[in-house]
Amino acid sequence: VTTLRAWLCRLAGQLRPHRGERDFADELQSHLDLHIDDNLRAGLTATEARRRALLKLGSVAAVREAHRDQRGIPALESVVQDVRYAFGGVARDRAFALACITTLGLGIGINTAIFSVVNAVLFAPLPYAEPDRLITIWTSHPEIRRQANAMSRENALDLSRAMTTISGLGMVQANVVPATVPVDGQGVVVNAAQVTPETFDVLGVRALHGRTLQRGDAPGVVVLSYAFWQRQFGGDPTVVGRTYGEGRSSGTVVGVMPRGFELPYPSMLQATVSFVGGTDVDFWAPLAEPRPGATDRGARMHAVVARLRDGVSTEEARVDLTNAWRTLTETYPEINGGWSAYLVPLHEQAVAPVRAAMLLLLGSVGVVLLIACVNVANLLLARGVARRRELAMRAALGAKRSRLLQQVIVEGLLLSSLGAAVGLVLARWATPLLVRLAPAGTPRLSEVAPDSTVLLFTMAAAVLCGMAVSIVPGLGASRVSPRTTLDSGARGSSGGRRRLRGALVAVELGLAVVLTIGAGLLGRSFIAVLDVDPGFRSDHLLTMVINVLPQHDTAEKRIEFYRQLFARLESVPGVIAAGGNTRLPFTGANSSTGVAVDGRVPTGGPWLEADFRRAMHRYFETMNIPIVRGRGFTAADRAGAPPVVVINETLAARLFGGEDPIGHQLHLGDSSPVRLATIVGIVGDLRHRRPDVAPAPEVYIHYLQGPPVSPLLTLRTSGDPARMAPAIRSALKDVDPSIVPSNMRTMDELRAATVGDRVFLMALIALFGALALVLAAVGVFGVLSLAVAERRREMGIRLALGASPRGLMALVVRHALVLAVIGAGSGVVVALALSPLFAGQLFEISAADPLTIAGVVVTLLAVAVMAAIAPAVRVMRVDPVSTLRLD
Amino acid sequence: MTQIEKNAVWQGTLSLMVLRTLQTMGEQHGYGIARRIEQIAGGRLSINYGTLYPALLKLEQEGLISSQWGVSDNNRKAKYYKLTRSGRKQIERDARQWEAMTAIMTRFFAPGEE
Repeated sequence: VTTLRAWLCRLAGQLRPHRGERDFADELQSHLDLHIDDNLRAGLTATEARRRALLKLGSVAAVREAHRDQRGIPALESVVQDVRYAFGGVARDRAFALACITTLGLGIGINTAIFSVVNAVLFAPLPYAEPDRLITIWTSHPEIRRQANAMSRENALDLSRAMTTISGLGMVQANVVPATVPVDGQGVVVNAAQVTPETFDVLGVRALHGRTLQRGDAPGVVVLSYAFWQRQFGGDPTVVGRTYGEGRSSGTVVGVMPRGFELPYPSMLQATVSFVGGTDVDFWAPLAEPRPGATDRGARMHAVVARLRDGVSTEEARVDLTNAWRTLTETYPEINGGWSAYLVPLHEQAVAPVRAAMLLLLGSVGVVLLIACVNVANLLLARGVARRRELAMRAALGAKRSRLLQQVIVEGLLLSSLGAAVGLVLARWATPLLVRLAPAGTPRLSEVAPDSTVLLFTMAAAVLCGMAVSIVPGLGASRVSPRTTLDSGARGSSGGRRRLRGALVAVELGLAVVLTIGAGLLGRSFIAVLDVDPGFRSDHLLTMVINVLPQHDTAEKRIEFYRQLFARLESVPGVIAAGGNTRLPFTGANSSTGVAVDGRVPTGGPWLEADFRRAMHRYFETMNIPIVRGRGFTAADRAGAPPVVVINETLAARLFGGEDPIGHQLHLGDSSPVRLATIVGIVGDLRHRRPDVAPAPEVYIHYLQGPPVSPLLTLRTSGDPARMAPAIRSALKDVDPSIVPSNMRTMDELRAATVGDRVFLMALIALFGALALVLAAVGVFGVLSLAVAERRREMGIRLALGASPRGLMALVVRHALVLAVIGAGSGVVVALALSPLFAGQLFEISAADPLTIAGVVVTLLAVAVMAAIAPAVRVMRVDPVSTLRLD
Repeated sequence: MTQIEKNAVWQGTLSLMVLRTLQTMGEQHGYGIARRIEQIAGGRLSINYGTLYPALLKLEQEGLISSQWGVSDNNRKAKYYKLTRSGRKQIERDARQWEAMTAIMTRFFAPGEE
């Protein structure tokens, strides 16, 4: 305690230096007076009394110094001095300071921005109570290639009863359904998630306003998401309790969830019928109760989230789940046979799809910052040359080595702190931009906010950068030898120093090469993805969702409605063909069913799974999906007619090998309304999910041979499809004024959205690569300029001795090329070593793609030569006479 | 007269002497403390009075003594130091330790017992 108290006193003393100084002067004076009085009393003369008192006191200067040191904290004092000195340096050498601060500010700024996003998306704990106890439960069936499959309500309920390691279990319907709800008299299309009320308790979240769902809530009861509440109601808390709509589509708003509440995460959705990017949930509604007596154990439609009991490890829960699931497979072998259950921590489930890309971004900005640091270190090193005499002088006057090192480090820290301030401003601006540009489906973006973790990161970055930029120049400065430096009147730097600067620039070039190779590979992958033939022509297509009207409640009415609808749509000038499907490509929507050829149904084993589609009207024609064999659907294939199916080439090959499938009977699983149908045609494969995912087996039924569906329409147009939207809206109104088309997009827009994640990653890495190249070029320029300036005399002498200016210029350019070749070589080696990290992001290209590597190396050499032009020209202009006259 | 090196041991010793002086004399100014120490040492110790002041400051920062400006017997303005409560406790502890330590050190330097 006494020590702490003493330090606090000293700190206080440090902050008010003058007060203590005056007080002690008074005290010394009084001491002398008292002593002189005594001496006088002892009979000494006034002069002698004073002399002896002073003598006895000792060196006044030393006493004062000792007292001052004891009053304050001398080490801190020297730091304060250094900070003042460093500020002076910044003010004196504005251009130098500006270069350093800008470079570091840029580096720290983009790092802060990227870290803000990565931290919120990847690192921060989920915004729920004790989030590390939350898990999700999935089923899988490897034989039919089903992974991360949702679970039926019955199975989930049985698990929640059987598992002793979990304290609660919630269910979310694994597809988010767009619905039209009346808000203030207008139809608004929203994404509704259906959840069990327990889900909120399991997560441990409360509503921001009102309440969450409860057991026994009517189907129309909804809890709004924060974003929807802000967007639609301007954040008005009185919305709680408001009722909407009438009759069957009416309900009550009971609450608003806090910002950052996000469930289901995009990775928990499977057969969503929403468009890409439309998975942001607008409100939560109670999961529909099953019809009494209905056995839906085979309806695998629910994502399950559960909370582990306190103190239970994930391993224990795994064992518990395996045992509970075994009972379920034994009790219901015909439904659960072949399926197994496994758990994934909720955090893992939420962030796994974006982890690799996020870490890649973080690593890349880290490299940019490293290059920025190398550049600033080089600048400091170069300036150190100019200040050698000053440092040597201070060393000669007795400054300790550590004191000189400390001064350089303080200066580096000052520069990096100012850089961090600039960086924070930059990040404030760049972070929201990143959030806006982030690909649709990135989880937890709403949680991105400048919090204390981000600030801490920035401060740590500033300190590390400050140390990094000053450690090399600082060691150099502290090794200055006073004698040789002061003696020689040297202006230049030693060979060692020059080599050190060259090495730093080579490192910079190497790092820039690594980033540029990454950017090049991602860019070429992207081009390859754009070049992929998806199996249909995506241009000149307009797509939209329409609602099925409740009044078309019989098959006849629906057939008549669709006949009118398609006839009216195809009569719109500019529309070539109209069709539809329940699952359009690139919309994120998918569903599947088991299939088996009649007479070859596997006994006991699982059926082959195929993606399941219901083609409407002239779907194949509209999409330009080629009919490879047999025929497509015709008007004769309607309700009541013999059921028919069309399969794609992949499914044909899987089921029949080389044999002709036409005319064979196909069994379909219980998720299809048609259970046995004749194969009448084979169509070409198409890439349904994304252009960079291989085609899957597909089976199409005709839409009129099944129950009504909410169709996704698609129209082929002769002109720009986006311009057709108003004409289509009015045509739909002609058919029935209550049809509200939503999500009207061109297919090319949807296609572009599927590669949004690629674009985001590629654009940012390309940006960082370009930044790295520019910084490296600046580094080359700086080193060469300095080398030329230092060697003016040498150049002058060479010229005087008959060297040609061209030869000298070649010397400079060669210097640049040597640095570039060393940098490129090491960069390529590092890039190859790192290739496993980004191999997953590449498409149809090897991480060792020779063309990309060659391109990057050539670019780097070109950049190095360009950076060498100005210094080289300066060498040519050296006038031997004037240089030799200097001194 | 034995020359005493002004090292860390000396610093601690000087602090202890100051505390002890204040304990016996009560309130006293720096000059008075210095005179008293020399007096007690009986001419065997000669110190530069100046070295006392950083030690006084240190003790004050540690909260063992406190200071106040006052007026001396012969009407001179002077800064007076006195023990605080924790200073009084400290000197008891230090005195015990000092005795124990000197006893040990005396044994170490006792002639030929091996």
